[in-house]
Amino acid sequence: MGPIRGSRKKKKLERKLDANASTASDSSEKDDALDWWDDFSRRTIGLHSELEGLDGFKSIFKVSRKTFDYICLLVKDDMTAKSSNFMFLNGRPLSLYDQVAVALRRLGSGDSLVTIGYSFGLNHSTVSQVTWRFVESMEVRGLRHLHWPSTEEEMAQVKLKFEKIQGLPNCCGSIDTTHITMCLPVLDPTSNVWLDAEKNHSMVLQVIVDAEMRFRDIITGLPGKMSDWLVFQSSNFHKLCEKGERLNGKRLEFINRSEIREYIIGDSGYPLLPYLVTPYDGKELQPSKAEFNKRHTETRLVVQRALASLKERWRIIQGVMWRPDKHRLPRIILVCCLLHNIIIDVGDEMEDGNVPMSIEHDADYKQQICDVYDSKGAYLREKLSLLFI
Amino acid sequence: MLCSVRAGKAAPNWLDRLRSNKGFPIADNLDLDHFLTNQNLDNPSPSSLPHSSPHSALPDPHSDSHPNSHRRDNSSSSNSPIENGNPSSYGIITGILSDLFHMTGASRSSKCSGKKLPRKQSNPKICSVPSLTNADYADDKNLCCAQKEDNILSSNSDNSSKGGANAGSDKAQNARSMVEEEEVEDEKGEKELQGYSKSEVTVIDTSSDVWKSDKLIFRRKNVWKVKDKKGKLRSYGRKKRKQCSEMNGLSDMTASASKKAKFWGSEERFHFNAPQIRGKEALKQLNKGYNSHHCSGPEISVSAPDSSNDKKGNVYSLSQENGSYDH
Repeated sequence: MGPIRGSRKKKKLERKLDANASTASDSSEKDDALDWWDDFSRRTIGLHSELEGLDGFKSIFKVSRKTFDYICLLVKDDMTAKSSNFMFLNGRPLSLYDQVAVALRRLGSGDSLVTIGYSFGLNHSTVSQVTWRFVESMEVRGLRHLHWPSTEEEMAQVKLKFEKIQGLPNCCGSIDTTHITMCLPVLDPTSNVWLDAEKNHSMVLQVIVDAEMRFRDIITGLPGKMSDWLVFQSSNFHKLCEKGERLNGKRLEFINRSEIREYIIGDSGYPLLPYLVTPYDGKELQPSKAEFNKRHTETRLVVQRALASLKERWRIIQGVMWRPDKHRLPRIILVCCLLHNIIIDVGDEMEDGNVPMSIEHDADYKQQICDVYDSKGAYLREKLSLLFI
Repeated sequence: MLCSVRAGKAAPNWLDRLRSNKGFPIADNLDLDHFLTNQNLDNPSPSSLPHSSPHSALPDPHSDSHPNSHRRDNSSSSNSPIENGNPSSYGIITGILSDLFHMTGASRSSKCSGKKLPRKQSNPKICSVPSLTNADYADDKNLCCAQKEDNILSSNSDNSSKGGANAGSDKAQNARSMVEEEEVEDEKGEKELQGYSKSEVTVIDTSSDVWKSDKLIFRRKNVWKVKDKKGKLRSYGRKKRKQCSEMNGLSDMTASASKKAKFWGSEERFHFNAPQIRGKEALKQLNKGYNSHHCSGPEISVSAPDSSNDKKGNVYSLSQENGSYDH
């Protein structure tokens, strides 16, 4: 059966119309985006102090306008595909920008649902639903922003930037752990597993960052009662390293034929392993070891700053969360980490020129000590320290 | 036949029917001793004993539903006729019972076992025949039938259970526990985790192929075990396992059960505590462990050194001179 007469022409015409419509919609979206902020700033209640600052937008949403638009693009399909019947209290439907704004405000401020609902003119349940929809979308769409360096070139860049900090050669990352504290019912026996050494209910977040404070690997969801190195051993990163499938890249060769393999650095809470270098312990160290420790500590600041920045910016994971769903909290933490990386990737920090300096991310937690070490790790550390004689 | 008729409508007149079946007048003040000594001495019929049933070894799926009767039996098992030195009356009564219950019929048994049994007997005081105790009544299927026909011989189940609790207590226990056998098998893999507290958590690990997974955490003091939820593990409560679609794609899921067992077997790989990791032997163990490739298992078992911040001095003294370095 042949095509119906004139169908091709019709199709061409339809395509043209579609193209026109899409360009029109793009331009209208841009206009909408520009108008949206003016409209939004008029609509909000209780945010005037933040709006009056130099960058009201960033103080409210913790991201630049450029990053905000990029995030909207990321989640657009998910946030608009579903039957969007979210309404303001006045009956007006929430646009894509409204939804992203609500979610970012919730994650960034850590304010209660009721407070945010009041500020935005929403029911608190709408705030909750919109935020969760955003989290579900971001954890899929934004995951490309959090990955271990996949190519040799990418890894070479990471190593180069680490070496620039304090001269540690062939270093691929810095690892640390922080605690996301929660308020759980004390009488509930299931809460006990979350009770950490500092008598807080907490969930751990272990991150490995590159020299630009970008998260390259995270594991979260495990109880805060587990020590840092137990969490590390539970991670797939450790598994891959033990298999020789990670940190198995190019070795650095020296004139005396000694080699330095790829490794990451961590504090004393981690074991000394062939691929994880921790500082020397003790006070009266040899000069080379003391120098190594100094450089090691300086280089490790990137991960401490990254975690401090994460918690400072996304305050939903900074304070004590009131009885959170412990299956959902890891996903919220992941999305906060993704947003952290997106900010770096888009270049927000570079534009501002204000690199976060705070290194306090676990203020109430003491330094853990892990006594376990491996002889190959000790040998690697010795070789590194000999570089700083 | 007998079973169904009696179960249906014989309840009010069970004693009358019993008497008429055996040729006794339907009246009060019946001389039971006379009946026992004269009526049936010539036909003890041991072959019709319940224990001779070809199905006597079969487990009784309902045996668990009468825990009370078993418990009562245990308390009164000393009334066994064998123990009392009265084997003749024992044979007589068992013969009567075998006639009453028709215990050799397979279809009967299955039919009876399909019915729900009353939890309590309607007239427990009527039958005060201690001689009914017999180990053979521990047979589960017969137990079932006896209880089913408690309107005929109201305390049959009681008495038969007495025997089960006495001479054949092991058999009865086994039969009862066979219902739970499946549970035991299911929990076999979890035996080593007994005494551990279990928590279910959602872990996000971006190094995994599937970055989000449900895990089970077992903890006993400072010993932790982390397992994928999808494994052979089942919950202690025997709840139906929830199929998580996300878990189906887990790389860890491809690990076979034997592999899992292997990794569990490598528990010593991580199973250190503070005293163990002191000294040269501990060092050897650690070094051996870290050179091992078994640490990539889906489960991790770790004994955590206390996260106290007091550094244990000179726990590990490693120097280039001692040749410990691995070039």
